Amino acid sequence: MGSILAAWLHPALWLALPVLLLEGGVDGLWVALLVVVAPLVARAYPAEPLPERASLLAVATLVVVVGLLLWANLVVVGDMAQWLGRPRWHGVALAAGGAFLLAVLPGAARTAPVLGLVALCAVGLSAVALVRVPEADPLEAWRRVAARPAFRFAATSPWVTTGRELVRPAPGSDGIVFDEEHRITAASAGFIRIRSQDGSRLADREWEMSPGQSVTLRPGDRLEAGSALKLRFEAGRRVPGAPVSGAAWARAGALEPTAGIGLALTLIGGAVALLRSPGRSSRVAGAVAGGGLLAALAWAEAWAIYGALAAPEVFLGRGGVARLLDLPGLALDPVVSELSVNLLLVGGAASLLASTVALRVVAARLAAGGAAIGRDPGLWGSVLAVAGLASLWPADAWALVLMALGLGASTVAPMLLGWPAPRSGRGALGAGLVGLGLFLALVVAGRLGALGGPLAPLAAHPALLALPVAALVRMRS
Amino acid sequence: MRAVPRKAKPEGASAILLALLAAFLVLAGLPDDRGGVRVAGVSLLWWYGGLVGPVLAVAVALLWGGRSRGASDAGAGPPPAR
Repeated sequence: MGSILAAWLHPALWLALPVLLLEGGVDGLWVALLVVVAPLVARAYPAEPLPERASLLAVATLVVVVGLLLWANLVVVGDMAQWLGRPRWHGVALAAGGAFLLAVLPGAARTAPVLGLVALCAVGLSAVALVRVPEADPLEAWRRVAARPAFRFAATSPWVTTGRELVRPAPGSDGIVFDEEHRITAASAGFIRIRSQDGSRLADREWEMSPGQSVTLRPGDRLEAGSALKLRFEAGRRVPGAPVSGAAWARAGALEPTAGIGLALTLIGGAVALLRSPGRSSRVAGAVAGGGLLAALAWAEAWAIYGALAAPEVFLGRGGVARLLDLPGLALDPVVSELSVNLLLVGGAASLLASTVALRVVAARLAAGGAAIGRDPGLWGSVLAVAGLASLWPADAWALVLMALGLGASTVAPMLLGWPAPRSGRGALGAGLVGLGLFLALVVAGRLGALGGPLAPLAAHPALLALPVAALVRMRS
Repeated sequence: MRAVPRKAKPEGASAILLALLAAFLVLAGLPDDRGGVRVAGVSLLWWYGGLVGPVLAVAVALLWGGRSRGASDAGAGPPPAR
């Protein structure tokens, strides 16, 4: 069950949780709940053994799923390296090299539980200092965040006092959009780009800034970093990108039901594809996994809630893991902040290595003869090389995780679903092919912009349609 | 903790776990923001999604999902990779 935990809770997933909670409030809470419950659903129902032809498709798909998950995790490592001021490839090469060694060295996989334990301790300790800052118990901390009339820059914030470097926003983000008038001041030389709406016209302007020079932005203006430039913001002004208020962040009813169900099918189906195997686990193993999932949830909630309370500026600018790594520097004194970030980096690295081992193990368990695939150094070397190469460019790691789990949910999960026994095995291949075809068609249609309006959730979560249709094929065969 | 009889079907656990998830969506979709009603200062939805739902889910999985004794997942399927 330890391998199940490590395969599911890889860094691209657990590092995304506090960020999603911070950015999405109730939307993020839904993701966090799904992350805990999906693997429990997957393990609660014993899988049917797959017929040979179907297992070939399932294992091939699962190798691609694992490859996408490795890509997402190496993207996170690349982001971490970049955040530390190093080239992306330093982090990617180190992590991919370590993962490859664990794949080829005899007995190296036995280090996975130790790595998992190191990750758990390091990551848990990383939150201790942050939780102690506001001197509030968790209920009080949540209450204070939800009661904020707005998330504003504190006078003591590093963004106000010394200024901080504005970096390029995360891929796919809209830059920093201002919702009230705000004067920003350059703390170093550089240039900025501003897109503003003038009536019905969009105007792009570029300014060269010298230290001390200010520019005033109006509501709706969008700021992008043109070069490495330190900027200071005004104390008492709303943090651009933050929710309108604490109440808006915490509000029920913010969750869009169709997208919520699509996300649920993606995560539960993805968990079924990745984690189910013939046979069931012992109660002790189940308790370890359950405890690990609850610990991950508590950690994510602590980072999100105490982070929003201690440093509302965390909503500014970068998304993804960079937002998380920025947080200690905003809320803690430099020494403690550095320790907290280092613990997070150590935990992330240990978790990544444990997960690469575990993902190979679960891929190998799916079918008879799969063990050979799990041990094939050529195959996993190639998968790691391709994933490592792809992760040299920044990407949205969470989108890659959803893509991987969506593929597994659409193709492998319908093949594994155990309908009343007499029909077992029949139609699995057909169901898998239908699911795969629909998934690919919806991904392509989404990329081409053909799924707008009410069909948009299908583009975001192709498993919303592919999984039920493929399951129907499986039931009727 | 009382052991659940061995005849308890795992489908039951799956159904309860899915119902626990569905309860969150129902709570989030209640009219007049009833999921936002505060209990001890925290909204019902956050109580449920952040604590009660996950703890109940783990408890259900433990009561229904595990074997009383015997093999762990290490020996359950085809042999694992190294």
